[in-house]
Formats: sequence, C-alpha cells, structure tokens
Amino acid sequence: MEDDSVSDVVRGLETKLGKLDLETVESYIKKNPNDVKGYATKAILLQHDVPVGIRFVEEAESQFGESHLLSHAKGLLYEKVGDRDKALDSFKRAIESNPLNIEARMSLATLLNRAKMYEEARKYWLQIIELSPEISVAWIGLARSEYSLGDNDRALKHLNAALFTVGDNREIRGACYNNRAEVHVAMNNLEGALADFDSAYRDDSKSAMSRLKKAANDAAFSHDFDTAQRLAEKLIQLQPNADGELGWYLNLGLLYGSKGQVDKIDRLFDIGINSGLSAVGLLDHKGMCFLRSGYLEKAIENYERLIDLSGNNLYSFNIIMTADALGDKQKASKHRRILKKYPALVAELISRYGPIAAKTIFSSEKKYTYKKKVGRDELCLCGSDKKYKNCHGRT
Amino acid sequence: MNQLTEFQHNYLEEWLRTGHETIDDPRVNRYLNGLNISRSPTITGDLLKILDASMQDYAKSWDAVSIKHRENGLYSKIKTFMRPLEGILVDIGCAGGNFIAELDRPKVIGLDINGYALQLAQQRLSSEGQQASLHDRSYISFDPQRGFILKPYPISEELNLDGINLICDDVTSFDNTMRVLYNQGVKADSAVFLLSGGVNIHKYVGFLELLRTGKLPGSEAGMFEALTSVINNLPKICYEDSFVYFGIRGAEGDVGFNWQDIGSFLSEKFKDKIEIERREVIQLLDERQSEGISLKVVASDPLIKLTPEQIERAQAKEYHLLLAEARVKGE
Repeated sequence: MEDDSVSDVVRGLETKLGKLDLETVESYIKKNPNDVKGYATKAILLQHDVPVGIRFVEEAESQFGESHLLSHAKGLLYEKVGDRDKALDSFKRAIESNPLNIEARMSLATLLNRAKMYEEARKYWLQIIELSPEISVAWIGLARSEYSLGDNDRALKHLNAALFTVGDNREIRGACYNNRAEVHVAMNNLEGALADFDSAYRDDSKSAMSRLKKAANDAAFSHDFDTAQRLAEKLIQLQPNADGELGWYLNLGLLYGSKGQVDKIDRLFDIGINSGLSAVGLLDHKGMCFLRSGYLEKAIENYERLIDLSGNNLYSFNIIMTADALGDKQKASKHRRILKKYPALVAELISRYGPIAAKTIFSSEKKYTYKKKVGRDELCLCGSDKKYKNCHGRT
Repeated sequence: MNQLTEFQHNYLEEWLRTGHETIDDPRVNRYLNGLNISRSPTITGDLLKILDASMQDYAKSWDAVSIKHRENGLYSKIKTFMRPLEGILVDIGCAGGNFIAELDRPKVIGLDINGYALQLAQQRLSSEGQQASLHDRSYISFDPQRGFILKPYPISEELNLDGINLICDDVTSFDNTMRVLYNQGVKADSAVFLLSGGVNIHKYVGFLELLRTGKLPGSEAGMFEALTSVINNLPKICYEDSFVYFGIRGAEGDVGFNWQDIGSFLSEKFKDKIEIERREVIQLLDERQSEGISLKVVASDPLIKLTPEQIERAQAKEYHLLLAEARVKGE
C-alpha cells in the first residue's frame, strides 16, 4: 500500500535497515525492485546532488507510473535548488495522486507562503485542517498566510488554535508565541506582544530574540518609537548580555535620550555593565546617547569615567568638544593639555576626523556647538539617520 | 422508501448523493485503483439505507425516553447542580436537545453523531422559542484507513458562537467541534455529558462495572468507550480548569455497585484528565411510580422497544442520579 507519507517511508526504511545511507538503500532497491518506497527514500537521500536525484526519480516514474511518494520527493528536490514552479507542480501532482496526502499539502502550502502566494497557500492550509484539525503547524501556516494578507483577526484566532494543538513541542510552541506576538504588534496590542515574547523566550530563546529584534527594528523604521522602545526594553530584560551585542543599548539609550529620560539611560547602561558586557563599549555608547540628546554635563562626566576605566585618552577629544559647547574653558583646556602630550593620539584623531580635529585640539577658543534644538533639515538626535523633519520633528 | 417521511427521504437522498459524490470523485477512484482496491461492493444504497434507518430509530426512541426524563425533572436536577457559568457550554451527545432546552441559555454547542437527533433538537428548541443553527450535514467522506467518516466541518465558515449551534460530531475525535471552536481561536468554557438511560434503561451504568472488573459485554462496553473517549478528549475542546459536569442515571444493584463510590471510580480512573471537585447522589424516588419515569408509560410508547423481562427487572430497582463536577486538566 502506497499510503504513507514520504517521511513515514524514510523513517520506516531506516528502522527496517538499521541505517540510512545511499549504499544501504540501493542494496534494498536491488532486493526489492518493485517497492516504490526504496526509490522515494533514495530520492530524498540525493538532495545533495539534485540533478542526479531528479533523473533518478524520472526513471522510477517511468517504472511505477504516477506515485505520490515520487512526486513529493521530486518536489523536495526542486525546492532544494530553488526551482519553485517545478516544486509547486510536483507537490500538486503528489496531492492529485493521493488526495489524502497531508504531508505533500504541507510542503506545498509552506512553499506557497514563502513565495508570497498567500491566497493559494491559505486554501491548502484549510484543506490540511479539514483533513486533521490537530496539526499545529497547519494552524501556524494558515495564520501566516492570513497575517500576510492583512487579516490579523483571523491570524490571531488561528495562532490560538495552534497553541491548543501544539502539545509539548517547545520549538513549535515558541513559533506559535513568536507569530502571535508579531500579530499583536500589528494590532497595537503591545502588552499582548510582550507577554507572548516572554512565553516564546521560555520555549525557544534564540528564535524569540531574533523575532523581537526584527519587531523592534520594524517599529523604529516605521517611526513608532514608543513601540520600538518597549520592545527593545523587553529584549534587554530577557537577555541583558544580548549575545555580546551592544547596539541595542545604544538604540534604546538614544530613544530614552530623545524623550529626555536621562535616569533611564543611567539605569539601562548599569544593566549592561552588571550583565558582564564590555563596560568600555557601553560607556562609549552611553556618551553618545547623552551627546545626541544634549545632556552635555552628563556626557563629560561619562567620558571622564571612561578615561578612568580604559586609560584611553582619545576620549579627551570628546570632552574638549563637549566642554567647548558648554563654555567650560577650564575643562576644555585641561583635556587639550592632556591630548597634546600624546602626539600619536592626536595623529589618530586627525586621520579619523580630518582638519577639524586639529583645530579643536590646538585652538583654545574653538567653539563647537551642540544644539538641543535641531534644524528641520538636520539629522535627528535619535540616531535614525533621518532628517529631523522626517523623524521626531515630523508634524 | 414509501414508509419514509419526506424529511427522512430527503435526508437519505442527501446522504446517498454525497456518498456517491465522494466515491465517484475521479481522484479518489484513481487513488483506490492505484491501491488495487476496487469500489467496494458494500458501498451501496442498501447499506446506507440500513445505516440511515438505524440512526433514525435510535434518534427517535432515545428522544422519547429523553422527553420523559425532562418531564420528570431529571434535567432540572442536573441544571440546579451546575454552577451558573458564563461562556460556551458544550453538551456532549445532546441527542434531541431536551437538556439544552431545559438549560435555556445562549452560547451552547450541542454535538451528536446522529444527524436525525440534531434535526429533532433544532425543532424542539425552535418550538420553545430558542433558535439554534443546525450543522448536521450528513456528508460522508471516504478515508481508506478509516472507512467512511463524517464530513469535516468547513473551517472557512465561521459560526456565531453567541447562539446555540448543533454540530454533527463524533466523541471519539471531536474533530468537527475542534474545527468550529479553533477556527475562532477559542475552546469551550464548560461541558456536560449525560448518561441518563436510553432504551436499555436497566443497563445504563454497565460501564461502571467495566471500570470495576474490566469485563462487560455488548452495549455497556460501548458506553464505557464513549465515556473514556469523552473524558480523554475533553482537553481538546475545553480550556484547562474549565468545569465539566457528569450526570449519570442508574439503578442500584444492576452492577452490584455502591452509588456513593461512583465518583471515586471516576476520580481514580481518569485522574490524569479530570479532577472531581464536587459530587452528589440523588435518589430518584421510585421511578417505577409517578415520581420518576413510569416504565409503563415508556413501554407503551411504540417507539421504545422493551421486553417484559426488561421492564420487570427495571421496575425492581432503586434509581439514582450521580452528579459530578470536575475540573478539566490540561493536555
């Protein structure tokens, strides 16, 4: 009976043969030349050499006629080399050959989702659920199609359904929560999204962090800075060492700075330092946050701490510029004197920033101005690299 | 066919049509040919007629008894025992809808495998001013592994879960109820499963003996299987910690069983699935006489087939109603 799925067949043969490699399967085919399962399994094993695999399946098809196992295996081979149309066609033929083939429908619907053919994908996900309502990945796939089609209400319901059916599979449960969090963000239900990212993190921390970063980035790119801030806070709360990435501290610090939340900048960078991240790197970012948001005294204080900590007098240059902007001649002079003792550092600063660095260091009256008020055509203080008028200055 | 009412005739025709539609589907045929399975000679109108007649008989005879249970206050006792919970309630095996009618509440899903029973339920509820939507299409679908199965509820359609819905489903899977609920991202908030005695009213607690001894032939085993299926499948359709109510009517002595212990049996046997929180045993005062179902009345109903021996045996019993409230555990 040819009513198993491809994965059932492969697993079954592995159990029967004790191992699964080309040599063993070829030997099985020699002994059982009329068993299509051997051919389908060999086709799966030939995914590293797709042209050979496809030729092999076509020869098998000339022997067996149409077989849902061979069609499905062929579709997987075409998918492997990115021949989407032929893969879709093969999966459809597998379903035609066996109308009850859930696994071929899964392959087809998944590929349709990837190809952004969401309407058609949705049709096949529905068919899978009508064949068996307990397949959680089908509910997830359906919800992905619906979310992509802008039907967030249905996507949310169907992700609930996915959670009802997921059981103990943590990876899939994590995917349910991650997807639902994304839908919640789209529906402006930030509390729901944060709770779901929490749950997703418990099941699959890597995926949750990746989706959370994407969501925070998407929110920032669409200028929803409140959402971006909350998501970035969750990111740092869940994983304060952030896999060694300091960028999220800078992003969040800049967001705090743009809102004048100086205390939060301090607390944020303390979290990073306490979690074992590079204190020097963090303080460098923290200084940037103070500078960009116009908190110059705090910036100087931070750079002084940074020099103490790192022994790197390059930061004197930052202090000079900031002190000039503040009109703190005493502090500026002090750091000019320090820098002048280190010609190598001066040379590095000049090579990095050009003649302006030389003027800053050697002119005692250099007036470098940080403005709290930003011009409409200047870059926004939040660090988005957009003009102020297109960012926080947008009316 | 002459003896069938127009309603029955249409129902049967629909069943036959959809059965043939499925089996005539060229894709299914091609698949069957590939498996060297010819169209089964048993898939004929005659078989379907027999099945259909059996379902009609069952729906009607059970409904006749159920009406008498209601008239004699059995369902109102169960209703009184239940908490006034809000949300969606599922009546598992609702049959002709007598208990749903007694409940008189919105947000009910009544499910039964017997489409005729659901038709009766809709008519009953409508006559009492409660509108119920019927989703009883007796479509059948062919599955080579499982034979004929209930047509899946099309999940592209959304039901209004604020009202009463009657759904054709099978307690061994709850597939259609799952499709209906999950499609809207919800589960039921409570459920009720009543075993209050069908035609063979002296055997209704037979499954309990099976629980005790592991032995019981015939219909009792079927009843036990139904109870086991229902309880095992509850987490699929009910939220964790939601309430499920059992109402089991039976007679002391039928199985040599102490009614006070029934709750313990349920508790122990299904401890992984439910946790019994509250139970009560009500003695149904002399159902042989006017305070319960009068077996004479039941026996005089042409739809109910009881042998004199069955009546005599049943009349010699004391009848009880076990009520149990349980919490559904998670999957």
